[in-house]
Amino acid sequence: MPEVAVRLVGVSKRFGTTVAVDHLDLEIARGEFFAILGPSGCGKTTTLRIVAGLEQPTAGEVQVGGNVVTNLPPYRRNIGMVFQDYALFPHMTVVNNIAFGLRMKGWPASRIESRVKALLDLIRLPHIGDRFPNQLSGGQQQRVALARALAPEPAVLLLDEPLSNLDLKLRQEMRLEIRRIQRELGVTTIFVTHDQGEALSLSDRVMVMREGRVSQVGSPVELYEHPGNSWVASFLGDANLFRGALRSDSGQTLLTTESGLAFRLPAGQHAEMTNATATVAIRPESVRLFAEDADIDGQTGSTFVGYVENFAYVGAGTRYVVRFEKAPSQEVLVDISEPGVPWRDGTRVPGCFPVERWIIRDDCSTWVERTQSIARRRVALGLSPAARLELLAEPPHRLELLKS
Amino acid sequence: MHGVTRALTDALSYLLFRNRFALAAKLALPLAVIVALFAAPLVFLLRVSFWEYTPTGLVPAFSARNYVYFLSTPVYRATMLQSIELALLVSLVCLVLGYPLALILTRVRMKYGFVLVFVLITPLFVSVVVRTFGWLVLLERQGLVNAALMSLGLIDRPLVLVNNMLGVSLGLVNVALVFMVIPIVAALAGVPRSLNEAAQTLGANRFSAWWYVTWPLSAPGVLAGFILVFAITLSAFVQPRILGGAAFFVIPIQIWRQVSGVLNWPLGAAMGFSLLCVSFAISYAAYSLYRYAFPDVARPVERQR
Amino acid sequence: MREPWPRRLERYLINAYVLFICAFIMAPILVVVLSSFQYGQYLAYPIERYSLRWYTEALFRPEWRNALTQSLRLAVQTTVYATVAGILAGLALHYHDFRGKQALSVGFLSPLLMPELLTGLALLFYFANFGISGTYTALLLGHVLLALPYVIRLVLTALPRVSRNAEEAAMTLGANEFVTMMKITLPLISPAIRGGAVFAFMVSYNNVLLSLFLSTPRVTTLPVKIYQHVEFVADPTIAAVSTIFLILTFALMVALERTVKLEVMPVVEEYRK
Ligand SMILES: Nc1ncnc2c1ncn2[C@@H]1O[C@H](COP(=O)(O)OP(=O)(O)OP(=O)(O)O)[C@@H](O)[C@H]1O
Ligand SMILES: [Mg+2]
Repeated sequence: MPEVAVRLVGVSKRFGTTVAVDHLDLEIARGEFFAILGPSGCGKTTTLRIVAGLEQPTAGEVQVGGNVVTNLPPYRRNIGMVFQDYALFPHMTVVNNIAFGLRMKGWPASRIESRVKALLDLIRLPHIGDRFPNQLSGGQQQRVALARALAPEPAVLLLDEPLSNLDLKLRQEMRLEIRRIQRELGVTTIFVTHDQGEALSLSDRVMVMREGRVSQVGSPVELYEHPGNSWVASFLGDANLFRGALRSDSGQTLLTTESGLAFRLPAGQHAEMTNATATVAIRPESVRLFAEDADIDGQTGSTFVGYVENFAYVGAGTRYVVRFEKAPSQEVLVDISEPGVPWRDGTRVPGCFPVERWIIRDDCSTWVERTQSIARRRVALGLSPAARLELLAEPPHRLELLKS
Repeated sequence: MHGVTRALTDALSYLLFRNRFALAAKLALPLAVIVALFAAPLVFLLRVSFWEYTPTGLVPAFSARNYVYFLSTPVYRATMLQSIELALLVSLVCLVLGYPLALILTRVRMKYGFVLVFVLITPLFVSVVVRTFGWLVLLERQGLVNAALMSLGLIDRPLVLVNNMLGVSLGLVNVALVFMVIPIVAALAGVPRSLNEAAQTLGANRFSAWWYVTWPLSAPGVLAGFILVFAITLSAFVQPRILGGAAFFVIPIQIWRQVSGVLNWPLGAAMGFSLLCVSFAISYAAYSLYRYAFPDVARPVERQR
Repeated sequence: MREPWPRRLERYLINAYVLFICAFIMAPILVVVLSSFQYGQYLAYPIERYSLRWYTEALFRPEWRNALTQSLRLAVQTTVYATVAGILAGLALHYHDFRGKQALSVGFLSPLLMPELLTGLALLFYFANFGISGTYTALLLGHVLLALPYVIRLVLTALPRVSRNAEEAAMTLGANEFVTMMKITLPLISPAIRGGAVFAFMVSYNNVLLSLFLSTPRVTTLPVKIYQHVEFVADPTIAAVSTIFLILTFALMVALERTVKLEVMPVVEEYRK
């Protein structure tokens, strides 16, 4: 049974008329690597700062390690934080930066010294202790900031877009480094980012935020393969979204768009929503394209014919924009991972949407909100923490079922 | 030990940052200085300027007699004119000397530029009284300048360089020059060199590029420098007193005489405020002139406010 | 390639002009130092015989020594009080938002705009009214008032450049607000504080006019004594005293040379606007 390290209950934060965080409920288990993901301005930093105590919530309660800390200043919360610009103290050497938190705790000098040394080893920079921050590279500063935050053995480590100031290569290296250190120490970590690759590759669970609210919480796999709504689907990776009317047809569910396209969806599911309008999505890498003269009648799924409108070679594969022959106003994104560029502009290509690869079906945002309010209500009902965690990790469509 | 410091700093944190009166706690000391040592004394001075002076003592009253007396006495009027004349002269000399200097500081790359900067700012660090004494040594009848000119055979008898407007002006220009240069440098630093170059690519020669582009854009600095130097000179006391000799009068000297000699505080106070009003009036006149001469430069400055 | 002659002429003219200005500014200071080595009783040129006798004269006369120690004591105390008060005011204006903040910051700098003559006059009457005129305290209070705006202005220009993140990082590491201020904020603005302290010291050490209003024969400062002496007679003693007085000024400037080179230009630009 996982122990809860951080819990937010109904936390809101307003700045004047802006609602930065809106009734946020959140539980993070001890030792978990938890990512907060969302577009710019959605309230990620604010959430993190509320946990840190750098911002007072307008409403709600914050708990760290089982204690209510809502009204405690940051220096009484036992947290460590890495800032986007690292915020290393420019007038102190690396050693003094790392030792700062330990001095604040009143550790004796000898213990501080050995702890700092251990941390410098942990970040694999044993020889830079006497340098000043401006004598370090970006990646080194990043590691020192991490070591400094970890030094006082915080209950929670907070990271606010720690990698966004690094170049691509270094960023990937530091991702692994952060993950390694986090595993080694087992420290509960909240990681704010607007880079979905970072969130998906690093974390145990991800919370997708939108306009101060939770859009979905779940493991990376759940989020990518079972996005709770079309917004999450298109925010996490790319998605082809189609909107149309649902119809039941001899045990199969069909969706017909206004432009005249028809898609075959997985049988059985959501049959109850027949005759409603819905949006469905499919990932570009799930769509298949065939040679011009291939026979596509045997494929399971919805077949189509289109013209290559545009393509971009990205090394690992090629991305195509294909315009439907039947519905020239609509396009579909397709990722092909074959080597080379099999099709060029203007080529006529047959393709297929495999029936099992459709990922979501939702109608409108009220549906999403409904699942959220259900989740919140369950939390409020006072389930055991573990049950709550499980519940919050649930993909929303299962919540929908739970309700009925 | 750690616990004690912790408790102490926690208490100080509470006092200065965490309680409702944190702002008041920080402001108490500096605000006390400004209110009790600046605002209150000036209000009191204003009040005193309306008191009456009798041979037996000061009478707290509310009469404009001191002002009327000051403005209607020919000696004081002449002194006021002399003060204004001196301040205008010094301001103009500072402008003529200071503008090229500001141009050189901002536009010319010099090997020993920092020496010039250093020299320019020494007056900010060296007491007025020492420099004024230096001028006296230079300009006296047997001073260095006269001695040098005589030994070179350029003159037969010493020139009268001190105890007149010339000596006082030299001493004042020496002190005030830096206050003219600084605002002009600041204004010029805000004028990108590329503007001047653009003017030259459009066919302006170097003079007309300066006249049509750089000069108008540096005018706010000139105005600021002028007002500053004028105010400093108008209320200068040490230089007129030492370099002007016993017969050279400006208002600050008259004030000093009232205050230390006759103990006529009310009249001294009235003179002080009159001087302040003159300073404001001339500053406003300079500002109006500036607005009239550079309407296009003056307008955006106003919009920013 | 040689420069064309108009350019060269221009360069010569500029150099000549700069030299002229430097000479004009430095002449009165240098001439004082030069005259102090004169042997004779009167200032006469060319100097025929050099000696240090006026220095011994100046140093052995208790009135000069007392005035110098009083000046130093006053300047040091002014520096301490003005710096502390200035930092507090800067912190208040930087960290708090309140109505009338703009007006208050103008108010804090207003002593710079007021002619010293009026400030001196006002303080003279005011202190006399409270019966503390002519005391050392009165002199000290006046000097603190004059020095305070310089400190406030420098601190206020430096504070916005301190990264808020660094302060918050310190707090997440367990430092309370006061410790954060002492270990992070103030060290990061230390150049401005040092500059402000130097200005405060110089304002007090060099002040004549205000001190003239507030001093008595017993409570006085060296510049005031120099002034009173020069008003009466200019002789080599006073040149020696002035030179001794200048030594500290230049010592301070040299000690701060690095700071001065890096920071005085911006400081100068800030100085009176
Ligand atoms: N101190 C503040 N005062 C006023 N509004 C604020 C403040 N801090 C944040 N906001 C507002 O709150 C909202 C959320 O801001 P926040 O910084 O949490 O976003 P974010 O998700 O971290 O964005 P980013 O990815 O750009 O860092 C924004 O609309 C922002 O403008
Ligand atoms: Mg952010």
